[in-house]
Amino acid sequence: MLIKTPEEGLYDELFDLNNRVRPHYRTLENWLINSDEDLIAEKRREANVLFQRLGITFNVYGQDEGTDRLIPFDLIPRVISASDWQKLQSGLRQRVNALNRFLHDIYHNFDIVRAGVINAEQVFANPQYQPGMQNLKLPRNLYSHIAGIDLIRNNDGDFYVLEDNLRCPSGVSYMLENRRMMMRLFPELFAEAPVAPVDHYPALLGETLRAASLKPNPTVVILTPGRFNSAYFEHAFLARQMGVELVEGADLFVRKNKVFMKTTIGPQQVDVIYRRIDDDFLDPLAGNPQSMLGVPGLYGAYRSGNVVLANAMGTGVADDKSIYPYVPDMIRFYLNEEPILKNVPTWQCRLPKDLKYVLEHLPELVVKEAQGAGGYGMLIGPRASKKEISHFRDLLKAKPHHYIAQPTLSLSTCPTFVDEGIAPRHLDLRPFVLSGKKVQMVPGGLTRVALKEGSLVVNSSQGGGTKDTWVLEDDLC
Amino acid sequence: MLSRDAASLFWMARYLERAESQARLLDISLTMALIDVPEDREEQLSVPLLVTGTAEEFKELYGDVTPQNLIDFMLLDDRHPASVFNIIQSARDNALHVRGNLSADVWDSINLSYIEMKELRKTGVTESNASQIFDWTRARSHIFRGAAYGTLLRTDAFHFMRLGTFIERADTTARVLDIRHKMASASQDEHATRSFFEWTALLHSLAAFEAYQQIYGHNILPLNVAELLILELDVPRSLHACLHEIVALLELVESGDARKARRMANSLYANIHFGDRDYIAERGLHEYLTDFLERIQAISGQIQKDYMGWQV
Amino acid sequence: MKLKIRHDTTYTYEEPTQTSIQYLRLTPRNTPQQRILSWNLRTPGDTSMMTDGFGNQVTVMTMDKPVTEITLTAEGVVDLTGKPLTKDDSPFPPEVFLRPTLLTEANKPIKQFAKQFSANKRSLVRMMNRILERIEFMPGATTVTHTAAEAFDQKRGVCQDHTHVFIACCRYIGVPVRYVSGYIHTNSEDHLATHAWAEVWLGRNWHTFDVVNLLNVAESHIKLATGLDYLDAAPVRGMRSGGGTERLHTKAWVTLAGEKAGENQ
Repeated sequence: MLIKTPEEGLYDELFDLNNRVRPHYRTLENWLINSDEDLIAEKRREANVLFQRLGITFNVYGQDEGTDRLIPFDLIPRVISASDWQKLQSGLRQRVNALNRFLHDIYHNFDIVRAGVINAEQVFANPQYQPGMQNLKLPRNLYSHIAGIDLIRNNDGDFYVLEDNLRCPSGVSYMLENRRMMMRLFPELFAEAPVAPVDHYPALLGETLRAASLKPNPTVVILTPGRFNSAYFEHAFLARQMGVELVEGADLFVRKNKVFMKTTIGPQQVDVIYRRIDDDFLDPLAGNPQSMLGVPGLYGAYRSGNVVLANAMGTGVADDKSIYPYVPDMIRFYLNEEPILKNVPTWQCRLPKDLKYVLEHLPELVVKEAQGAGGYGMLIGPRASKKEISHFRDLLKAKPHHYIAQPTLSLSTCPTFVDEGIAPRHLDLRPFVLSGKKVQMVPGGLTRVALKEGSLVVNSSQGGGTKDTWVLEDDLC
Repeated sequence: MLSRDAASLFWMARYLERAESQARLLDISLTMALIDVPEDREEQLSVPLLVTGTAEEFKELYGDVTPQNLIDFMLLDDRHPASVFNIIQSARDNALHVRGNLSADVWDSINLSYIEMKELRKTGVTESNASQIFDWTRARSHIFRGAAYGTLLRTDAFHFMRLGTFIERADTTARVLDIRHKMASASQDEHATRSFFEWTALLHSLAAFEAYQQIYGHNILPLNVAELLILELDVPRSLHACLHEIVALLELVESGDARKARRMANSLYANIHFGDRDYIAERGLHEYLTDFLERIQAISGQIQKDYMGWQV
Repeated sequence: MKLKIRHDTTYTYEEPTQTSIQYLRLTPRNTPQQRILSWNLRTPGDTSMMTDGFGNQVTVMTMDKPVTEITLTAEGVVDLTGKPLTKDDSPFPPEVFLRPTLLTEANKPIKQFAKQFSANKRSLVRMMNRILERIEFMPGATTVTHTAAEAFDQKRGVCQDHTHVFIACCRYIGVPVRYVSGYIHTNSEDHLATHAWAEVWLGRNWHTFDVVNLLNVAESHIKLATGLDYLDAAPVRGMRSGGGTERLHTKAWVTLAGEKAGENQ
C-alpha cells in the first residue's frame, strides 16, 4: 500500500524531513508497502471482532449509560528507537521521583514553599490539596505509585511532557491488549523487528503494589466504582492479570481502623488498595457524604497506617495544570539535577503579565482549564473561529486563575489507516511509571492518535484511537 | 473468594441453565402442539408459561396463545425477566461482575451468546426457523459448559458456579415434572394417548427420553417417569443427580464457620438417596414435589446467606 | 476559668439498625488556650482512635448489634487559660484555609456583600455584625447540609450557618479562615452550649470571630475540632445500614466547675 507523506514542517515518526524512512521504521515500512490492501482490511475487521468479543469497550461520557463503544484501534504501530527510549526512561524516572518528593514535602515540612520556589497559595489553596493528608507517614514516602505521563513530540523532534497524571491514570490495558492483538494478527512482524516486550506490566504492577505496604505478604485489592465506570474493563483486566480481588466499596468494611473484605469464608484483612475511585468518594465520612462508591471508615484506617492507598489521597495537587510549570524547578530543588524531559512553556493566566500576553496572542495559543481533564474545556487558537476566541477572551477575563495557556505545539504524526489509505495523523504517548522499591516501567506506553485529519485532540472521548507502541531493543536494524 | 463474586458466579450459572431449560421447554411445547388435537393445543402451548409463572404477564402483553406469540414472548421480549433474551442478559451482567474470575474462553462464550441474541432480536424469530434457534441455544449452553470444564481452575469460583447450575436444574426438573404430571393426570381417564404425549414431552424436555427407553422400554408409565426423574442417579437432570452434585460441591467449597446449607442439603439428599417409588406413590407425586421445591429453594437461600450475603 | 462540660447526643431509630460506623470529634485537645483536666467519652460501640489531617482527635465507633438507640456522652473539666490565640496550632500554612468548599462557596449575593469589607480586624468585626443583623438566629431553620449561600438567602439559621457565611465572605476577599466546633459557656439560656465559630488569620496571628455572640475573643470557648467547614469539624459523622428514620436529640451543659449544673439545651 502507498503511504502518504506528511505536510511540510511537521515532525513525522516514519519519514524524516526529506521524506526518507527513518532507520527504526524500515522493517515496518517494508511490510506496509508490501501489504495488500484487502488483507489489511480483512485484518482490521478481524481486530474489531476480537476486541468486541473480548469486551474491550469504553463507555463514553455524555452518552447513554452503559453504551459500549470500541476505541478505534489502528493497525500501524508507533515505533520508538532504543536511544529515544533510553532518554525518555531516565527523564520519566527523574520526573516521577521529583513529583513524589514534592508530594511528600507539601504534606509534611513544605520545604519547597519555604524556599520560595512555589508560593504557598499555589499549593495550599489548590482544591486538589488534601489537608487530610497532612503528617501522614506513608511507606517509602510514596504517593503516586502509578503515574501516567503524557508526552508529545514537537516539530523540533524533542519529546515534551504535556501533562502528568498522578491520580488514577488509565489506559494501560489498551497498551497490553493492543500488543496482544498485533502479535495475534501479524506474528511474522515480531519475528523481524526486535520489539521490547510489555506483557510483564501486570507483574511489575503487582510488585509495586506489594511494595507499597511494609507488611511481608500484603493482601492487595483493586477498588473499582463498578461496571458502569468507563475504565471498568481495565480494572477487571488488571485484577485478573495480577490475581487479586476486584472489589467495590460494598465488598469492604472497616472495623478497629482496619479494612476487611467480605469473602465466602468471612472477613479478610486488606493491606493495599489500588483504588480507581476519586479522593472525594473514598470515604463518605471524610469526603463527599453522598458517596455510595467508597468505604465508610476507610480514611480512619488510612490515617492509622493500617491500609495503603495507591495512589495516595491528594496526589492531584501535583498534576494540576497550575503546578505543572513548576515541575522543572522541583527536579532542580529535590534532586539537584537538570530536567531531562522538556516542559511545554506555560503562561499562568492568574499572573497579570501572563494574562496580558495570552489575551494579545489568543489565536496562536492553546488555552486549557487549570483543573480540567478530557479535553472538553480548551481552545486551540489556530483552529478556533473568531467567535470561539472571543468567547474564551471573556472566560479568561472573568476567571483568569482558571486557565493556563501554552504555545500550539504540533504533535508529531505517524502513518495511520484511514478511509483513503495510509495517511499521517497526530499522536501522543502515555508511558506508565511505577514507583515501589524502585521506579520501573515497561518499554512503551499507550499511543493515542487523533483519527481526524489535522486534529490534535487524541482523547478517546473525543474520537481518538490507539496504536500499539513499539520500543525497539536495538537500533541497529 | 469475594462473597459478591460467589453470588455473581452462582447466578450467572443459574441463568445460563435457565436459558437452556427454557429453550428446551419451549421447543417441546411447540412440537407437541403440532401433534396435539386442536382443542388441546392452547393448553400444550401454555406449559412454558406455567412452569415460569408468566401466564398472566403473557396474557396482558399478547392475549392469544399462538406459537408466534409464545416465541416472541418467551425468547425475545425484554419486557419481562423470564424471556431467554433477558435471562442471557442477566447471565452476562453477572459474568461482567466476575470477569476477573472467568477465563477468557468462558467470558467469550457468554458474551458471544449475548451479542448473537441481540442480533437475533433485530432479525426476529418465526415458527419456521424457531427450531434452529433452539438448537443454537442448546449449542451455546454446551459451549459454555465445555469452556468452563475445560479452562477454569477447580477453585471455589468453579464450585459456586456449579452449585448455581445444579440448584437451577433441580428446581426446573421438579417444576416441569409437577406440571406435566398435573396435565397428564387430568387427561388420563378420557384420553390415554394424550397422557402418553404429556409424558413423552416431559422426557424430551428434560433430555431423558432415551434414558427412559433404555431402562423401562417403550411403555410409558407415570410412576416410571417419576422414578427416573427423581431417583435415578445416572440421569443427569434427575433430582438425585442434582442433589448428589450439590452435596459434593458444598463439601468442596471452603466454608469457614458456615454449616447450615450443608446440613440442609445433606438431609434432602438422604431423603432422595434412600427413597423409593413406593414412598413417592404413597405421598402423592404433587405433594412430594411441592415439598422438594420448598426445600431446594430454602437450600439456595441458605447458600446465599452462608457464603454470599453476610452482614458485617 | 475551670469549666465542667457534659454533652449527650442520642440517636433514636424507627427500627433496629444493622450496623453503623461514626467518626466522633468529641475529644478536645490541649492547646495554649485550654488545658484538659479530665475527659471521658462514653459510647455503646467498639472504638478506636485516629488523628485527622487537621490534628483533631477522632474516635471511630462501630456497632454491629441491632439497636434502636445510640447515646454518646462526652464529659470532662477544661481549664481555660485566657491566653490569646497565637501564631498557630494548625499543622499547615494558613493558605490552606483560603479554599472555598461546597458548604462555604460564595454566591453572587454573598460576593456583593463581602466586597464592602477588607482584610483587617475592624472591618471584619463590622462584617460579623452585619451578618448577625441579616441572619436571624433561629434553631431548626436549617439543617447540617445547608450551605452558606442558602443561609444567606434564607436569612435564618444557627451558629453553623453564621459561621459558614462569615467564612465564605472571608475567603472571597482572600482572608484565610477556619471553622471551629466546640462548646461555649454563657449566662444566656437561648443559645446552644454546642457551638461553632470562626478563626481568621490576619498576617501574624489567628483571631476568634464568634458571629452569633459577636465576640472577638474566645474567653469562654472550648475548642473540639477545626477544619475548612462543618464537615471537617462535625462532632458526629456517621453511616448506618437499616434503622429507618432517625431522630437526633442533643443536650449540653457547660458550667463553672464546682457550680451546680444548670441545664442548657
